[in-house]
Parts: sequence; structure tokens; C-alpha cells
Amino acid sequence: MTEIRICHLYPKEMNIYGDRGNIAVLQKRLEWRGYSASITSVGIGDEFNPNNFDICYLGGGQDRDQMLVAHDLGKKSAAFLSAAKDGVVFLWVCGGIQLAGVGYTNSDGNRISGVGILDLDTSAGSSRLIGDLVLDAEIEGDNCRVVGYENHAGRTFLGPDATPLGSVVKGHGNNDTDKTEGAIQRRVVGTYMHGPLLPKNPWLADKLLSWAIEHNTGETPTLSSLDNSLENLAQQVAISRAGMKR
Amino acid sequence: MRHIALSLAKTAGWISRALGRGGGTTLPGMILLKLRPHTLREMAQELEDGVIVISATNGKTTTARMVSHAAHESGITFVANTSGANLPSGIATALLRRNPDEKLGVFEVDEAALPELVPKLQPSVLVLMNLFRDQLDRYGELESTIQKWEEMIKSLPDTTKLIINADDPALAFLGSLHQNVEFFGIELTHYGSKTIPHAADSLHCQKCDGPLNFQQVTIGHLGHWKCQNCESQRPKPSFAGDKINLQGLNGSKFIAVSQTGPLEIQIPLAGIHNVYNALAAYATCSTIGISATNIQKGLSTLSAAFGRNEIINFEGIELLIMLAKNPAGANQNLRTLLLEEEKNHLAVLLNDRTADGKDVSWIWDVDYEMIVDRLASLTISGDRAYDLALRFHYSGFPTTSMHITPSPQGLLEHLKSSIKTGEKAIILPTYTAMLDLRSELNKMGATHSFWEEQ
Ligand SMILES: [Zn+2]
Repeated sequence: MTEIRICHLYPKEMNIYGDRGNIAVLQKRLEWRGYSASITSVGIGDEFNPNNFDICYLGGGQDRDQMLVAHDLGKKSAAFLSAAKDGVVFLWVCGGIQLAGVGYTNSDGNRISGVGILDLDTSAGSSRLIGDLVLDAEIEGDNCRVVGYENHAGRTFLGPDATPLGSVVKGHGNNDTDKTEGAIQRRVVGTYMHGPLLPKNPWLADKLLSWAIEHNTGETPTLSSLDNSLENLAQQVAISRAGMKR
Repeated sequence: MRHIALSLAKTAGWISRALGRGGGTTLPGMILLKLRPHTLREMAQELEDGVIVISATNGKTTTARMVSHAAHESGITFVANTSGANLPSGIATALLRRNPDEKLGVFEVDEAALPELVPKLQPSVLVLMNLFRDQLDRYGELESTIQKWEEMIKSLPDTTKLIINADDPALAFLGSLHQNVEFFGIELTHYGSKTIPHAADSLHCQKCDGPLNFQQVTIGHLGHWKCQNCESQRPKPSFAGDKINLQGLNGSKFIAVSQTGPLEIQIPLAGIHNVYNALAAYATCSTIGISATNIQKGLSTLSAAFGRNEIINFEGIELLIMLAKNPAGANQNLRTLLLEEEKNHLAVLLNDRTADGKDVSWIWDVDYEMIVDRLASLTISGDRAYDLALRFHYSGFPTTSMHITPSPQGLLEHLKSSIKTGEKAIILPTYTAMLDLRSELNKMGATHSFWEEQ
């Protein structure tokens, strides 16, 4: 049985929005298709070996914890850059997308360096961008509607090497001005749709899983289809609530 | 002008109750605060015997009710805000309705509204019980609430007695910033665990950012903690809960130990979270001079607060309603179910309206996994029923065995048709889902309007 190796980065610090939902989806959707999945936590002070993983997840954290994590990530950035070049899949959400970029300038004007696996830069805005987020996502020419929830003060702008994950239909997205949301570069995906975005977006989950399997086996897999009826109903409700709610 | 404002506001309450909208628990206060913003402070100053303010993410309603009950038992007349009307408008409404002979105030206050309300209410006793992640879209992050509370505590006069949960590392740190403070906490118990649950907050030392070690964890990040890096550790509580005996859904027993000696306390509310509530109430009541006997009596004869372990008879089925609105609270309710031997009928209701928090991410921080093989049936309801169904799907509960019905009416009909008379069903709703369910139960004559409660 092929074992797909999932790395959960800083689960103690970066987990405030039910981030483990994404890990559960990756794991179960692999297992339901006959793959096995291993989940390894990498925390502050631990070594990150880029050869050990097919997919790396980083979630959202409180400012204080995000600072502790940013400091530790700095020591690992060479390993992350090498993993990204090697085609390891990344899903970094919320605080994660900010840390994946070149840097973050906070409200006091202080600058925190990012890992640099996504060509984007973030600075703190004066207000928080909070609410449902609906986008038309595009990955490698394939389109799908994706829904999530955002809650961030950062305003993120992409550089030329990164492509948006999608265009905003409802909500704020990267910066509340250019209608872009998230970023993709190689197989690194960043997004402000925090916490459990994969349960309601099986299309995105399966994209990431195909890449992860390809990284592991060297071949593009054909994923067997799963019953997504509950997923689709939850997504429809979320989209209609996004339109309705004040 | 003041009199006109007061009478206008009172009339609004009467009208809104007469129309049956919202029970008038906040509207009069809202009008008054608009007309005369300073009135709250003036009205609070009229309370000669002082003001008790209780705040927490979880347990503030129940604790305020416990304190009220013991105060009532000892013949103290007081004014309190009921039914969770815990924002400035709800407190102003309670003060508007105060009888002149009520000289003590007992208020539960929303944790985000607390820093604004404390300078106005000038509490003689301020009880801080816990801070967990809750409604992240509304409150912002936990850390920012802690910072606001810190500023609030730094500007408290020494005359304010702080009563603080020693087991909450962030709150214990706040307590160390004030001169006049008493701590309460739970001693080592076999209900505690050595490992931190997944959704725990506050795992770093407030003083030095160092990681915390736990000798015991009771709920979330509450327990016997110590910083690995500096000298910070759980302060020794002057009101300690010992020899805890959780008696399933029926209630709990423990020994409250303080300067005045050990006192056996029996409460009709289940779960270790209610032991914390009772301890906080005990510490508060002792501080204001209520006798041990009256505390014992007040706590043992307590009825459940609105939607907190409340039992409603519906067509011969016993509905046990336990509000579940954030991960720590929901996990605690699930753990309480595990104290029962038999399998339970369970209904979980998820709404995403303003009072619930519009972000439903938090359900992924609830450990539903612990109960999936302990259920006789599972019914899922609320505006976001399908999100919840997905959560159970990924927890390993078979989709084919769950019944999904978003409307409260559908939920009640399903429970009626699928559960035998005399059996019990446990209901875990978010706040507005509970209101919807209550209103549906009301229509069927199974319960009474909540504003009639005192
Ligand atoms: Zn420390």
C-alpha cells in the first residue's frame, strides 16, 4: 500500500480555527481510496526534513503564537524552499499564507521575514477582514467554486511568480482591492480561507491529494470518485448563507 | 430629563413584552443607554451593598445563578440580569427594573463587554473564571481579550476583590497584577488527565512566553500548570475543590476547602465544569459573608439555568438541553455524556447567526470522536446541519445512520417518532438554535417563555 506522508506544521500553535479538519480530510480521502496516510507533527525546535513528506499543512494562529512560529520557521526556510522546488505540496492557510510569503509588516511597522515559498508580501491593515468568502478557483486550467471563511488583518499582494488561487465572488480575499484570493506557485497553495476549508471543498482536497500522490509515486494518479453529496450540500448552504447574512 | 428617559425605557420594555418580542430583556436598557449614556454608572452607584460581576467564556450564567440562589437563601435581596442578557443593554434593563430595597447587584457579563462595563459598574467583587476560544469572528483572538482584561485589571481600585481561577494560566497571571485577589481551583482528581486536549488555548506562559507543563488537565487548558522557563506556576487556591465525585447526568459532589474548613457541596448539575462554577460561586458567596449552610443549601437546590442542563418534558420524552457554543463547552458536555453507562439519543444543532458566531469552524475543534460509538441515535439540525453532518462523517459516524433535519420542527417530529416514551434525549444546541427549539417547544406547549424565569 502506498503511504502518503502528511506533515502537520506547528499543530500546537497554529490551530485556532479547527485546522485539524483539513488534516482529517486529507487522511480519510486517501484511506477511502486505498492509500495509507501518515501524519507527522513538526513543532518549534523540531527538524524539518524536506525528503520526508509529500504534503505540508500550516494553519492559523494567534498573533503571539504566529510570532513564535515565524521565528522558528526562519531556521527551516532553506529546507522549505528545497521541498517546494522538489514538488512537495503545501497548503498554508490564514496565518500560513502570510508566513509563506516574503514577509509581513505589522501595524507597528516591524517587519517579519517569511519563508519565501510564495511570491507575495503582506502588511497589516487598519481593520480586520471577516466573513464568508466565496471564490471561483482555478488550478491548472480546471475551475471550481470554493467557499470558506476569512478573518485577517493582513493585506497581501502577489508578485509576478505567484498566481491567485481564485477570484473573489463574495468576501474580501487577499487585500480587499484586487479581487484576488490566495496564491499558487509550483505546488504551494496559500489561502485566507481559514480552518476547515477542505471538508466543504472536495475538489480542492482532491487536487492537493493528486499532487501529493504524484510526488510520492512519480506518476499522476487517477483518483477514484467518492460520494460527495454531503459535501456539496454543505457547500451550497455556505454559499447561500454568504449571500444572505448581514 | 432622567425621569423621562427612565419612564420611556420602562414603557419600551412593557410594550416589547406585551408584543411577545424578545421578552423585553434588553430593549429598555438599549433605549436608556442611547438617551442617557451615564445612567448605568449612576444606577450602579445606588447599590449600597456592592456589585458582583462574573465573567468567563463558559459558566458565567450558571455561576451567577448559583450566587443568586445562595443570596436568596440567606435573605439578601438583590438585582440580577437573567437569561443571558449580559451586554450593557441587558444590565441597564435589569437596573431599570430594580426595586429600591435591592441593594446588591449580581451580574454576569459578556467577556468582550467586560472592559467597558467594569469602570461603569465599579464592582466590589469581580469573578473571572476562564477564557476559551469562542466566536472568533466576534471577539477576535483570545490573546486580544486577555490584553484588554489586563488593562482593565491594572486600572481596578484596590477595593475591588478579584476572584480568579488559579487553573487558567492566563487568568492567574492577570490575578498576580492585583493586590486584592483570591484564587479558586480544583485539586488533583482522577477525572483529570495528563495530556492537553487538541483544542487547548493558552499553552504559553503569559510572563515569559515559555511553554507550560501540566501535572493535570481538567478542561481545555485548565489545570495544574507550571512554566518550564520561569518561576510562574498555578497559585495555591484559597478556595479549593477536592474529593470530586461526578455522579453522571444527575449531579456532582465535592469538598470545598477554605480557611473556614472543609464544606461538602452537592450540586444537581453534571460535569466537572459545574464543579468549577460551584467553586467560583462558593468563593464569591463566602467573600460577601453568606454562611456555609446557606451556600450549601443554595447550591444543592439549584435548578438549571436556561438551556444549561435544563430538562424539558416533550410528549413523554425527557429532553436534556445543554448549550454547546464553543469547543471547550461542547467537549465538556460530551465528556458528561460519557459518565452515563447506557447509550444516549443525541441531537446536535448548529446555527451560524450573530449570537452563535458566523464562523462554524469551531466544530472541528470539538472531539465528537469520543462519543460516536456511544450513541443510540444521532439527529443533526440547525441552519448549518450539513457542516455538522460532515464533521460527524469525518469522525467515523456512518452517514447512513444519521438523521439530518435542518428545521427545529423537523427535529422535534423526528424525535417524537423515533424515541420511546420515558426515554431521554440529549440536545446540544448553539445559542440561537436553542432559542428556535424553545420557541418550537413553546408552540407545542412543552415549555414556558424564558423571560418569565427568574
Ligand atoms: Zn514563564
